[in-house]
Amino acid sequence: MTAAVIDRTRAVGRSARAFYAIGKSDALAYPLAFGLSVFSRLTNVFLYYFVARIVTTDESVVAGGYFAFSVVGTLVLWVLGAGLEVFGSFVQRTIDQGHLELYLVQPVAWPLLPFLWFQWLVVERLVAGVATIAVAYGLGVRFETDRLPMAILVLALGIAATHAIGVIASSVRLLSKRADPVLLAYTVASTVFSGLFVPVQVLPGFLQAVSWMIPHTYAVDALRQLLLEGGEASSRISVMEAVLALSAFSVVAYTVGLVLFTRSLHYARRRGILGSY
Amino acid sequence: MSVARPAVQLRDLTKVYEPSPRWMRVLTRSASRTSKLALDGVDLDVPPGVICAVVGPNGAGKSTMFRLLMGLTTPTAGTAHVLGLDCSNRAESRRAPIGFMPADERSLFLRLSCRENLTFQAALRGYHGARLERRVRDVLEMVGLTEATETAAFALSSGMKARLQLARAMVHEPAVLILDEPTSTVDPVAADDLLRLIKDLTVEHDLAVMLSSHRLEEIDALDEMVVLLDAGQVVFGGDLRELRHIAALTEVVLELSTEAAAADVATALGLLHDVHTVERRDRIVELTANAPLGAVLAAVGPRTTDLVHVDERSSSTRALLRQVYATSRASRSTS
Repeated sequence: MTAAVIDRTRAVGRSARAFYAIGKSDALAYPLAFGLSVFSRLTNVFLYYFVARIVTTDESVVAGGYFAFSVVGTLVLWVLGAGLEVFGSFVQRTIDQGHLELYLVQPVAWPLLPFLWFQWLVVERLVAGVATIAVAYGLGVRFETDRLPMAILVLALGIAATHAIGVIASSVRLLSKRADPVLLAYTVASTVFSGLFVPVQVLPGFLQAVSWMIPHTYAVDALRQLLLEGGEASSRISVMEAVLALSAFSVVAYTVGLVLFTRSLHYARRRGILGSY
Repeated sequence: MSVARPAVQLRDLTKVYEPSPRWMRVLTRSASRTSKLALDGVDLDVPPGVICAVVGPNGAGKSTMFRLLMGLTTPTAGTAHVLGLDCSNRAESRRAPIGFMPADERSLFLRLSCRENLTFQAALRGYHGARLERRVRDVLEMVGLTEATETAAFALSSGMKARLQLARAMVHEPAVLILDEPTSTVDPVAADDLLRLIKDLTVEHDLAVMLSSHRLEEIDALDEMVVLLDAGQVVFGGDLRELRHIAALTEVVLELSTEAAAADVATALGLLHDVHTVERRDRIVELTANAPLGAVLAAVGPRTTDLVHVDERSSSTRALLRQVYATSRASRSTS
């Protein structure tokens, strides 16, 4: 029994390495394109640098000034976006390129695929996140580093929570092929209502209630407290509460997501529409 | 003589594609509003060391059969087994002994080198370290792509891409190969080379190979087991020689001394029940028949003395298949 578990764990490890390597090689096959894609993600930083010059800020809702506030929003947008992208454009690309069936015929458990596809994208987005911080630092934002490990934990939990939502979205995508209402609705909600660029406090009451249902809200709130001086002034929850909320989101969404993903795969398999358009 | 246990075994395999339920039409456009019978009670055994060419017109059920074997869809009824493992089983270990070559060359990672493409596949199949490197090198050599080891897949010719796909299917030393139209994108010479390679590998590794093809000359060249599918049913399963024997279709070309004699002979042969087609061009009469040459000559009767030249040929594969499909469709429509 133990030997079987060890064998299985090793097989998962091998698969993880193989998928990571193929994702990396594919992305870096065109180094300039990769570099430019990272650079393009910095557009927000420059944009909000100038926007901050004309925005009057209230420290009680915009900690550290609007530029620093939006830099953390940008960081969360890019890094947590990996969890959504894997089931948005990535799965679509996989279907369009004819790779989905290739993945499905490998001796890899299908529920593992969402995790295997995800690895390189996270690294890619983390590179963009580090670049965002570096440029913001160059433009004058000073980050607190005392509680960096906690910030990394919050970021990791945020990635996990959004990835879990991505798994739910992918269940719809496997059947719908094109339209992806879950992902679309979530992307709009997370960009507008979670406080990435507009403080939640200025939203109408019912939208503030909606914001509590979005993992981005907790991640960005906690990260501002951890990374920006005086970040607590504009926060609505403590870091610990954010950590607990993100953990709960991850557990619930992964449980629901993996059940739905596996069921969708098997339903599509039975109907003969796996890998089709 | 001992009979090898089949590596691939299909029993009463049936697949019906159902139309999308109403709720799914909110999500996506439905491919069909009616049920479609894609495979209808197919029985088939493919032993090790044998290539089974699956032939049929579009919509005959070839791809469905392969998708069932790969576990990409499930049967509505019946069973499909590969090396005794049930193909409808979801366990990933079931997929391990099969090498699969999809019809679409885009399934290669086109930006990556031949080595990287094979390394990914081999790593997923449990190879690592020096053993992985050695295996990738050996397989590239086996398919003649050693020189292209570091070449990106997009830069390969279609023939080389087909070889790389074959290498990928072979990299984990499978016992069963499933090749979906392996030669569809390559020129006839490259296709011939690829088929020779597949034949060699089949013998060398005692593989059970199932391949689909639209190219009739390839089926001739393979000279192996043939399964003719039509409307989801097997209308013939065996080797081509057996099919020719059953169909006993003969093409005869008669050259006569005059056009008048040719016209008489064509008319006389046209009356014969076993003669399928008769065509006359000047002094030449060409016919296809389910009758031995002697019976044809007997029907020529008094004009035998006008015969200048007689040529008997085995029917072309195309004519053979056309006849088999026509017979099966006729029997389906009468039943």
